[in-house]
Amino acid sequence: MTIETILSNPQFTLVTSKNRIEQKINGLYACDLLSFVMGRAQKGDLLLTILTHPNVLAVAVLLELPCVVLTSGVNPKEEMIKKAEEEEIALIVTGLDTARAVRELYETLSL
Amino acid sequence: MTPPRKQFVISRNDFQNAGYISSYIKKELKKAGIDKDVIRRVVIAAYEAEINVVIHSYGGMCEYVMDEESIRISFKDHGPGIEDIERAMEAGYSTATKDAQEHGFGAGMGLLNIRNSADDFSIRSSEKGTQVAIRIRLRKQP
Repeated sequence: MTIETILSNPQFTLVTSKNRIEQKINGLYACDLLSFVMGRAQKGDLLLTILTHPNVLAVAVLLELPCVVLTSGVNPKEEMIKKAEEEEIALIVTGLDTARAVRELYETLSL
Repeated sequence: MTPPRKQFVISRNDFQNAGYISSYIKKELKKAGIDKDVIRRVVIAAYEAEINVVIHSYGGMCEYVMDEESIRISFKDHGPGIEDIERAMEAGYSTATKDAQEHGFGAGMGLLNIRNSADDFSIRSSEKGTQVAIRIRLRKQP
């Protein structure tokens, strides 16, 4: 299942350009503390978080996470969107809180 | 040809560039055909140590040296040092500021992530600064 599949669900909106949305998602990881993400998320995971610090993207790059979903209606600042574009990571926003977003994604992605 | 050694300067509170060193080393290890699980461990250890210098110190530097067998990465900062290293090694213990925590740092897992990723790990600290040394054995991608 790919990032593009997620966008078929109207609850999720892509804020970066459509570059590389054909990338595959292997699993989900949800957390708001970067050291846990660093130690536990696996390559190919989609990261769900409410953090909008550009360093979230540095972690995503290092772990090869192709997509970050900002939940709970949190909006990224220009700085974060710019960094996501540079690093070719798909940045998606949703009004759903993290638990509900996880449930939707499991269904949408048939994980 | 992989450069065997390189030095980096790390500035206090420079979150913008945090992650640069780990991503540089990652690229070099990839070029050298190192096993991806080994790369993951190096990246985790280097990133956490780099973030620690950014968040907790007045600034410092990092150097790595690589040979056929292993990579050694050392971090030195200019203080103020870690008051209680034993507690700092405990899972969940953090002295990060509220501001850093709101940005997702300060989980209290950094040193533990380093220790769990490294084959050898040492840390020394006084008010003049902290020194972290990491060694990870390298293995080529099969």
